Amino acid sequence: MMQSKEPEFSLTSLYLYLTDHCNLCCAHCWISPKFSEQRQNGLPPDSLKKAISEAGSLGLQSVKLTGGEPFLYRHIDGLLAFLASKEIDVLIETNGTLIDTDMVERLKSCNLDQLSVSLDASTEEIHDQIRGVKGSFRRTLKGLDLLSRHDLNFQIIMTLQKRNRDEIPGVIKLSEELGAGSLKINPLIPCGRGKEIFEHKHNLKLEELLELYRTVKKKWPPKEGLSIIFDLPVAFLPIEEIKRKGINQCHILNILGILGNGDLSICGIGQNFHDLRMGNIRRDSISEIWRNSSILKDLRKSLPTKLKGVCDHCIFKFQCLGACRANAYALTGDLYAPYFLCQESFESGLFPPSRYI
Amino acid sequence: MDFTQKFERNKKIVYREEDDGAFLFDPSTGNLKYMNRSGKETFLLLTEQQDLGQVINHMSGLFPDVKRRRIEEDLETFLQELEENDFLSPLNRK
Repeated sequence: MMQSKEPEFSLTSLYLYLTDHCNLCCAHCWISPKFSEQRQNGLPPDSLKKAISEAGSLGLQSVKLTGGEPFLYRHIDGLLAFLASKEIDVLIETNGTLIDTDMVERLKSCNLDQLSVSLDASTEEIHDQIRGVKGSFRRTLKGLDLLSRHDLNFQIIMTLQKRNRDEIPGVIKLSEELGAGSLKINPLIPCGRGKEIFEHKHNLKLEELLELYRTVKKKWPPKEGLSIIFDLPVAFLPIEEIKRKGINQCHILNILGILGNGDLSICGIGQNFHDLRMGNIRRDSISEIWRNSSILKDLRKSLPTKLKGVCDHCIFKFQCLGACRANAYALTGDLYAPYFLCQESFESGLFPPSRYI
Repeated sequence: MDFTQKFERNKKIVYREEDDGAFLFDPSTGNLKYMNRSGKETFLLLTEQQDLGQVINHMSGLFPDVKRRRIEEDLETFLQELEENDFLSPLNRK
């Protein structure tokens, strides 16, 4: 049998969609998990540990625990202990509602690289409206308060739409009071449930996002200790910010997503698009898939050279790789389609001409 | 450092200017460099074929509080990066 060639791309991170259930029902969620408040079996723990161990030889450095809500995962304690024993960096995306003192202690024993908690408003009414469950604001704040009291570094993530655009100053203040290390402000993406928000035109247009970005910089500079990351494509950021923060790249060439049922995909997008799945950790070797998947081989060969539209002409295409390829696929069925915000800006004459080749 | 050395810009690279700096982009390799205002100023002086001594004198005039030695070191680092990425090359190096 012919030996597979050693992969030239490292698998530096696994994104673990531990369960396809969530205890909130957020209006904008791009994954659209099923609602449940019960603990979930989700990913089979033994197969998961085997996959993580195997990924070690492919260059694995970190895992991101997400979902659904990762703390609904029935085997979360064992997984955190396993990751701690392997000294793998852990990143977590959570709504924060299930964080209690025991969990804080477990988190302390991990190599916790980043803990991101979603908070969409500084007022109970708007946050709960967006998150679809009454009481979620209070529960999230309680979780954040626990993290803060135990000196665990955390990030707050806010997803912008029309409903919460006026909440930014309040969320900045709250982030400062709670002692967050950073506040990440994400534009909404038209994927999963977010698509409906776009259909109803409740999203913010690019001009509005750019205006808010400038306002945040000028009018609401955070106090020392908090950094604000306004997650716009690099094409819209000033040089000074690019020099300071670097270029945020789509990680698609160095990650794999493991979905709640064990299926592998390029990231969480496989949850909604079965044609982007490539095997299952219960029966397949992650090394084999990383080396031989036709989807991955094509991406490696074609990114960024096959990017289309404005992305093909952007000065940053080799670094940015088209912002988010999953989102491009969700919108167009094409992994090389231009990123929607950049293309929209180009078509409306807002794309910076100095960055177009 | 040879203060009489001059440089020329690689013809195939794309140079784009903005208010707060400039970009250098090589479409064949994807190499990209973003420069702040003083980087832009330095690059322009170099591509106008001023020699290193002239560039240092100019930058010393712009930043009188910065020691000349520090300006020389910064220029050396800057040049090294530009040469490594093939954005710039020495003109008729002896």
